[in-house]
Amino acid sequence: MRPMSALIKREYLEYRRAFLFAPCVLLAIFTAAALFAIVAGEAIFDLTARQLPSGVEIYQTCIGIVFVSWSAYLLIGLFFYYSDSFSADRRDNALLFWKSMPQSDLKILTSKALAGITIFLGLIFGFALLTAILVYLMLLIITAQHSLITAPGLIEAVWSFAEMGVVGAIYLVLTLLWHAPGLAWVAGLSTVFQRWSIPLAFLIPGTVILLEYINSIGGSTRPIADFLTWRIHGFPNKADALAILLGQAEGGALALVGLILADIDWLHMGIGLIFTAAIIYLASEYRRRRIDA
Amino acid sequence: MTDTAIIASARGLTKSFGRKDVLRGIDFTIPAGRIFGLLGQNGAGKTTTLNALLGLTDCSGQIEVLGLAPFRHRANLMNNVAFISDVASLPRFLKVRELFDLIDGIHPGFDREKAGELLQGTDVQPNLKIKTLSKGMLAQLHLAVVMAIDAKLLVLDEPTLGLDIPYRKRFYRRLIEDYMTEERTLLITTHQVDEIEFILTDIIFLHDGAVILDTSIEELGSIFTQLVVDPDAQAEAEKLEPIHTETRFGETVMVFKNVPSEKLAPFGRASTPSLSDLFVTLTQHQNTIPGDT
Repeated sequence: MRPMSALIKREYLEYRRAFLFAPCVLLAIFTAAALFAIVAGEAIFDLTARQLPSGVEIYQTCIGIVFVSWSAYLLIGLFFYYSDSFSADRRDNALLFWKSMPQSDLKILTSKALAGITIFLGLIFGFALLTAILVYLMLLIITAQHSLITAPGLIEAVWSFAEMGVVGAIYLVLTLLWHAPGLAWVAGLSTVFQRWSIPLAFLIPGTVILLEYINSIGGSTRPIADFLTWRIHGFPNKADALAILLGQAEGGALALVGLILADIDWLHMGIGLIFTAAIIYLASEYRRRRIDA
Repeated sequence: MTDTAIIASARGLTKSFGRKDVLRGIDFTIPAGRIFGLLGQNGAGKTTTLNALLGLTDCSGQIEVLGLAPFRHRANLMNNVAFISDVASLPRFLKVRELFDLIDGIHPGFDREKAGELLQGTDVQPNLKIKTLSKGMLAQLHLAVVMAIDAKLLVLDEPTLGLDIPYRKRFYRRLIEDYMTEERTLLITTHQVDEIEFILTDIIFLHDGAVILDTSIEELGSIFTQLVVDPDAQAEAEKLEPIHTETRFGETVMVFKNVPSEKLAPFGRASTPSLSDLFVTLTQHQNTIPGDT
């Protein structure tokens, strides 16, 4: 356990710019932009108080948007992370240093894979919670400016924050696991092709889909394109989720957990994780046979 | 010598890259407590032999290090083997302190305190980034790292390449004074043969993927004799069948194998050839000593 923790910490030290410093900058930009909009902007509401959702509903919807946005950042960040980290040890001849340590190639690559779902996910979850707190503070400012919107009281806000925190954590973890095969795909390509992994990650399936489209002009189906589109689309159903958050459907925020769990195709989740494990194993076997940079 | 005292052994070790045979069935045994020099020209197979010993490449034939098959058990083997393959191979994104923390976490044989002590009095400070260190400082750091690992076998592949003379001398002095014990074995390859001659106890000469000499330094003097031939004794000396003859600064120098120096003394000044002279002699004329291993 100790070596794995040390190896994951090593990933943090090498990639903290993407998962700590860059989110800090993004959050600062978001805060500045939002405050500027609130203070200097003009109200364009054209709604009556009746039509508006309650303060709690607005707040939990905002937190939902925050988690979806940060999950997008996490996926993009991890895509670039895996496109680099699986071949990073080959830079500066460092591969031989890592091979002089009593850790197998499989364990080292596993630590890279786990870093995404532990420390980097944890950091982004922390940023999402921080953003949610900032959103509440902004709602308070808006409430002071416009009588139409009322921010939830502190106790209601804390409760919404806690509920949506649980929902958000589950959403982030499951989103990451759902998209793990795509991340493993670019990681595996990185192990072999290093920096070319990013264009290849799109070029290879793109070429397959193009051939499929050419072949389907006569009317046949396009199973690969359809499968990948469905896979990328993910879960849950956005309209259903929004209905729950805005109080238009039964159940509180925690009902979202049920919706997420119900919307996941668990068979495909399992197949995807097996595919991910297989890619990591094959990458480790390739790495085991590499000694040059 | 008992089996337990054998650190590494190879029998019929072969390796090919495409059609090129890099190792052609080499045999050797490395006992504990010795300092072995593995010498050979570029392309002789030194690095491939080291890679086979360290489990970095798979070879045909039999090879065992500390009772393990290196390629199959590299991670396990590295608990008791340390190596420096290139002074530039340390991970550059870490600080010195972070490097020690990392190795402390992943190598059970690493003594962090000792590594710190070994760097006292040097310019390598704990908070310095590795990428900012000079080549000499990198060599000091890497040496401190491997010396702080309680390994039975230390392998150094061109460890002082690119370093200036004072650093090179300090490097080897430190190695002998602070690292070597009766239980530890050192295997060094370098082109700067003269610099390590005084520390070696055994040598293995490789030429074109084959072992052309494998002997202890003590035995070397009784096997090979160099004779600076008196001008009038050249014809008589040639009757004793030198394995190599050359002219140096107007003097004729012959190298003999298995000819007692007393027998040669009447023909000139007899002495033990230096390793570099012997290396040149044997690599140029190895065909004249068939079967010598």
